[in-house]
Amino acid sequence: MTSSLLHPPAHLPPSVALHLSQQAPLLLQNHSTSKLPISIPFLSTSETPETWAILENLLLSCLRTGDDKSARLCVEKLTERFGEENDRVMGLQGLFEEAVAENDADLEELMAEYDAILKENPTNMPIAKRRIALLRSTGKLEEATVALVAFLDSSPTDAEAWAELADLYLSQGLFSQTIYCLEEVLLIVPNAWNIHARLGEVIYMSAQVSGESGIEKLLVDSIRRFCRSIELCDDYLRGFYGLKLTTGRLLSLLPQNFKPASTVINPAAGEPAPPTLAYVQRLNEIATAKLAEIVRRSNAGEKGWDGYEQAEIIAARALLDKDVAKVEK
Amino acid sequence: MTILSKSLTLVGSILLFHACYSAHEHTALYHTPSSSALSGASRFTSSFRLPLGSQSSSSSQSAAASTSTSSSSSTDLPLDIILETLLSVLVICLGLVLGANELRPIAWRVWAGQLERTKGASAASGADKSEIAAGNPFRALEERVGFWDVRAQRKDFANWVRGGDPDVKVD
Repeated sequence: MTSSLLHPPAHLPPSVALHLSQQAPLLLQNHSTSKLPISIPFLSTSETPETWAILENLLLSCLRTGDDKSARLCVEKLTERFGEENDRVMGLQGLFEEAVAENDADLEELMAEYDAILKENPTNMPIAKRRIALLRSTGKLEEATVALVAFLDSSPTDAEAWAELADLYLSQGLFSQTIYCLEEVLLIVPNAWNIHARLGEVIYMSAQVSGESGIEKLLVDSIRRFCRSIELCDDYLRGFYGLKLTTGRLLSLLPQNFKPASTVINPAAGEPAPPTLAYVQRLNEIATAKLAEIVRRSNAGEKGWDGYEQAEIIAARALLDKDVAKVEK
Repeated sequence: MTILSKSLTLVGSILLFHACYSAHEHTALYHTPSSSALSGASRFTSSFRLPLGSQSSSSSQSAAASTSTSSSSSTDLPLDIILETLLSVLVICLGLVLGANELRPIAWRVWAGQLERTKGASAASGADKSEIAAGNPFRALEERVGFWDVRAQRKDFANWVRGGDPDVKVD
């Protein structure tokens, strides 16, 4: 359980977060008693690099579950160790203030505080991110977008910020901007298989709302992204799910107006030729087989196959069942 | 597997120690008589003069010849010590290799697949544990702790508690 405190708890289900935050009083108590009255460098082993990571993640868990007392203790300990002026500590303090803010006036006051800090030191990244997050949280999506674009102008290699901007654009329904941002993320971390899958999903979404004209090209793009995510990660449920969904959609479109040579290919731009019908069919078959295997092995509880989330397994099974029902009809 | 590797390493170490000790004893045994014989021979031929003296070059040559013949026959390490040394090193190597942790995947997709497929520390062994518990390192790009919307998270959690999930009452 302590090992799970070593990693940011944002994705954990509520029950686990509750469990973690319930350990907080005990952990904080241990933390204070193990400290010597005089700190002797190299001799006192009370401080390890993990100590502070655990404390920070504990803070996040406590804020989420509403244990503000423990959260305040965490912030105080971090402040005591790293000082008031530390960027990261300032960000965490801001996070805490946001969590305990009771009304909009508090939030506005906090916003003014963020602005003042940034005026003094514009390179305080954690505070700049908190400011954008607060703008978004209070529903000012456009302001948040503008601020985030300015942030990325000054720090264009921040993959987290690019991913946030993509999410922000997606929440406003701007698909092409979202795709651009996700491609920027992939420039920074080209091996992130989940971002490849995410990009495939976004392209698929944009294909769903686009007219008849460009839908095939978008679907082919989406298939390519999912294929890449599978290439980077064996047995990637999300990738195979997307592959099956997109190839199925493309197959349902293709027979009506099947002319693979009709799309203009520009070899100079490095654009690959669209796949043939047989190829798409094979991809669909592979994805179906692989999804069936994953669902079967995960449900059987085989050793080393227990890491998939139950909701994902259920969704995959539903997709497979839908396919079977269609065939039977 | 660990007991086998440990015992192999132990046996190999004992053998190696024994071989070293034998070699040491062997040189201790044979060094003194040969040097005394050499000094006796030089005393006999050149009467306490240094063997490198100009007038006794022939005698020094003969002394060198006598040492070389005696070393090849009696002061060389016997074959059994050499064989014991080689064997013990091999056994130690075998023990260490057998006792090594499970190899981690070299191929990116295998490694990534392992992270996605397995949960926590249940399946992994050794140094892999914490890595697998961490899961996909790129998930941070979808969580974005820096931009964490703490108020929405608190609201979600409160809703979950009110929803009366049975998990709440476990502890």
